[in-house]
Amino acid sequence: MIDKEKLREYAKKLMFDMKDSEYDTLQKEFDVILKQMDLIGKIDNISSVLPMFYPFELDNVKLREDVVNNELVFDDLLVNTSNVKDNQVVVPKVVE
Amino acid sequence: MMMYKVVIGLEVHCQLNTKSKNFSSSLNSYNSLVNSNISSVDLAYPGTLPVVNKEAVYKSLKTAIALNCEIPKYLSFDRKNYFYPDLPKGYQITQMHNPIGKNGYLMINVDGVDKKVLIHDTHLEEDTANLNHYSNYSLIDYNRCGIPLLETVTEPCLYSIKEAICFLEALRSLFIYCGISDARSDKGQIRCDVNVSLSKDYNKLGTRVEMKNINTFNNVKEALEYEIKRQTEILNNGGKIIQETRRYDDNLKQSFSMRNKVDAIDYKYFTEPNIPKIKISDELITKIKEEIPMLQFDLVNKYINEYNISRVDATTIVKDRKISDFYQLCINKGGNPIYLANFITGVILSHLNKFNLSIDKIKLEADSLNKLLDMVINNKISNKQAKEVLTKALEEDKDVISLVNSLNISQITNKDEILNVVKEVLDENPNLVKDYHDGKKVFDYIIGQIMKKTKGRANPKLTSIVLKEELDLRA
Repeated sequence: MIDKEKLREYAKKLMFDMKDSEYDTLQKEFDVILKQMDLIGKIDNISSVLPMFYPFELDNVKLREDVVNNELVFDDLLVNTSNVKDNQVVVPKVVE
Repeated sequence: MMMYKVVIGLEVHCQLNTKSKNFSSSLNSYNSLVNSNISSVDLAYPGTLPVVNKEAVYKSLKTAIALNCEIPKYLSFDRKNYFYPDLPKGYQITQMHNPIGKNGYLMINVDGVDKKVLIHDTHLEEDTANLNHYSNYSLIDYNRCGIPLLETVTEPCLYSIKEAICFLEALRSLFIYCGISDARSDKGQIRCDVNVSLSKDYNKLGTRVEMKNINTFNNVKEALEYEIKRQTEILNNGGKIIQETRRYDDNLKQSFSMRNKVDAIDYKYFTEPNIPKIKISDELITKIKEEIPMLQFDLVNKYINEYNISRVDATTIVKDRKISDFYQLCINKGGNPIYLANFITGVILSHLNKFNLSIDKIKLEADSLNKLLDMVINNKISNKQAKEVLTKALEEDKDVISLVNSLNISQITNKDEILNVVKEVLDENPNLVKDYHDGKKVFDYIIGQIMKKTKGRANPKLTSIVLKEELDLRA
């Protein structure tokens, strides 16, 4: 059961908030999702079926050779931020 | 004072020594200019995709196999979601559901007693960027972001600080022997999270407290000592331990609460969709198995059983792979294992430690060392002389055998030659002959005089015999 209180808790952890009406919509959506889950749970022997993460079985996935290529220089990085010091990005201090 | 059962579990992070990062081709290096080893993947630019480094997978598999782990049929990754500037993606790619190795073990020896340390799992993930904190801001260096990191997690099966440290040393040695990491704690290549609980009931685990990101084994020891003392005091005073994560400050020698269970972060793990499953073939596992050398535990036992050296010497030699390899090389070339162990753990190690050198960086050939020790064994030079000349050779970066020859220190084993010196000394000191026959203890003093004259080169055993004979003649 996912109630509004739980949704608020998750929203807080994900660091965003929503209007009350949006929580209502989301809760209704979860009701549908959980019903679907229940349905899947009733399939025989479901616990012995391995979860599928991708639509196709891929057997030809290659690993990358360990070859170095520094693609960017710090100018490329720093162009995306207005707050720079000593070639590093400045962020507010988050530890005590 | 009440005694509690201490239970410790460790999570050890080790940076792999690949050339490039785990999911991008940026250089994996710890001492580059800030923000120079970066790519669009590391910085999480939109539209970029991670591609797994082959070498990082091989090295992780090697470790997992060396740790006697079960290896999955497929390699897959998960996302660990959290919001912090050290990972620009907003998540870390790790292995939560399908680690590269699980249910393994590592044998260690604590004070002569064997112990099997259970490994929960070992998994491949990526390191985060470095945050350098200043008075009211922090600076981000992304060079470390994406470096392959192998995390090894033990079961809560370590029951003392000594066991914990012993395990850490054995694990670091495994990393080095397998060649997967330089495992230098001073370079941040090996870091540790420590879980510890205290319980009155020896059959139950107490409440777990975690201490994060401890950099050196000495700090692990100190953090554990501090934490066990802190928890003991709380329990003795009737208090309760709170399940929490703490930070150990090695300057203040104290731990501080970071967050408790209520504030625990929900990482919302799910399978990383950007990396398809990758098959781990049986052939690959067989190939890697063949590359794993004999590790610390077995090597120490081999040296004790086959070469008859002490556990202390065997452990000292095995600690550094290069030294162990050198020891083995000398033996393979016909060297005497006991003399070699004595000289390596003595003169050679103290020279290496004194000048912070590695054994492959000094001028010492296995053949020369064997020859020097043969001279000792065959009484051509004394043990003391050999040690002195070896020290001198190492300090002056010279070949030890050439030095022996040029210093003319070979032992005098010719009876006539010794007799001449004996006669000389006795002629110069007739009172000593009289004292000897009067029953005074001057024998060793006379030996000392002979040694002085021969600069310590006279064979002690033979000198003693010759002197006795000559003194009897002069009765």
